[in-house]
Amino acid sequence: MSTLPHRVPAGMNDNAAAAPAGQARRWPVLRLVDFIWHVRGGIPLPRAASSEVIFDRLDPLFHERGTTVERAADTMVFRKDNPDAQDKLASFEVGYLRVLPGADGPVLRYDLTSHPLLWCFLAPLPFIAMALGIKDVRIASYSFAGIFAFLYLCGRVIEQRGAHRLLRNTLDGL
Amino acid sequence: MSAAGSNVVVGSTQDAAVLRVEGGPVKRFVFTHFQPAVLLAMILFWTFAPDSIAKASVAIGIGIAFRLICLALERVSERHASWRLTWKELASDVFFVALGFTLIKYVGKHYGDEALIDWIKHKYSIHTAWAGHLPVFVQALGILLIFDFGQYWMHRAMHNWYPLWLTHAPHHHITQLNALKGAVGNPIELFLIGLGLDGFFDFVPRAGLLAGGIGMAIGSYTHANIRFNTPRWWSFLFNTVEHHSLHHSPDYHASRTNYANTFIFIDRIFGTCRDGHSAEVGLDDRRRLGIRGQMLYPFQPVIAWVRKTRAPGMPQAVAAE
Repeated sequence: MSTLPHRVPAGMNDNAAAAPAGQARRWPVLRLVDFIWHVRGGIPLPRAASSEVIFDRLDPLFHERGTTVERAADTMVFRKDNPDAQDKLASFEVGYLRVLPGADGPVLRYDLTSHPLLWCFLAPLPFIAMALGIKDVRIASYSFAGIFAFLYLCGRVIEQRGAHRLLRNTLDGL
Repeated sequence: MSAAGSNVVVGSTQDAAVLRVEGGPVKRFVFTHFQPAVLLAMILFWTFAPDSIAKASVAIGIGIAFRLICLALERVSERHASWRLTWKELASDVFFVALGFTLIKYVGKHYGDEALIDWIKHKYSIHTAWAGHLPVFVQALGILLIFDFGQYWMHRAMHNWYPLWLTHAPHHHITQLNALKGAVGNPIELFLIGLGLDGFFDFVPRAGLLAGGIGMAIGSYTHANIRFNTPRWWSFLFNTVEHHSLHHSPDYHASRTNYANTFIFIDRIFGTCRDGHSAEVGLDDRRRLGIRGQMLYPFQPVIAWVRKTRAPGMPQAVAAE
């Protein structure tokens, strides 16, 4: 088991007043908009469950090609390098999972980073530029700009729900 | 029947090993007759539709609607769970579809076969108005055969000449098939594969629409994750997802077969047809290629050469005293 020298994302620290970390520390404005490509949430855990038991239960989720996992006492970090299409967490490159104390017992907080969500959010821009610059493809370009905006909204919901359900179902019965 | 690789089945597409439609009699009936029925409907529609309806915009609308229908059919009669469309794959695929409808279409229109053929015809005073006096169905078949014949050789060349392979290899990096995957590839390849010689003949616009309808009714399934009970005569004449999955298999020899886009009998004529199917698709270790990888792949040798020339020299070894 390694110690985790990595930055723990803002909002996942024990101390709520802790300064935001990493990119968000350098660019505070990112903290306001990074919900575009970050999926965050929490899953209530049984009081008796230890971090080790919880991470052991989650571990098989990361037995996928291109996935590496690091663990510390209360934190688990996974990284994915070009995951397979059917990997259930294929949309996320990095994920921080942390067991934190809560008012009603411990909570698994997760913060997952998704570049596909970010690119999909930005995808309408080149097509709008194309619509403004090339008359021949104006209607098609505007149409696809709209389709990507719609796809982003769908993806933001689908990926959030999918990840939450996957983690919750995996921890079910603890 | 012989196994040419993992999950690759070579043999008649009517062999028991070929996946059959699962479910009740209605579902089996629909997925047995769907392909011929759509083909017949397209022929009748584009032959008899009044001029007020038979327009390019209607053809585009039908094409989009049919693509969506195919995506829906993938949910009803799925071929392989490992090919199931995910949100990430969908978003990536739609990007390539969008490129096809915008940038590639624009470049093809202004710098593709149409512009070049018009120039050649004008330069050498080639007149082919006679082609437009043939029966419309014959014209449509002519368009399809000329285009598919050209595409067959272009595709085969892409598998046999390294510079062309560099443009086509990204398409072979797809690790699952679905109704949108035909659009996935490097834009240079998509431009090249779209070139045709049918422009040399002055076919009437209706024939072009009919050819497009027939092409759609045959070619839309080759990348689709749909399980059909494909009729034997259909598999003999036309390219199917069985043929094309074999073409996309990681098995080197199997991937060098079934080049035709629409008419598999062209492969039969030239000895490159292999009946069969493969559940596994992709290249080498079947790692998928992201959009950036798809775009940069043809330039790999240049990128490698630049990196090599810019790389600092190896540190000199210090001689032991």
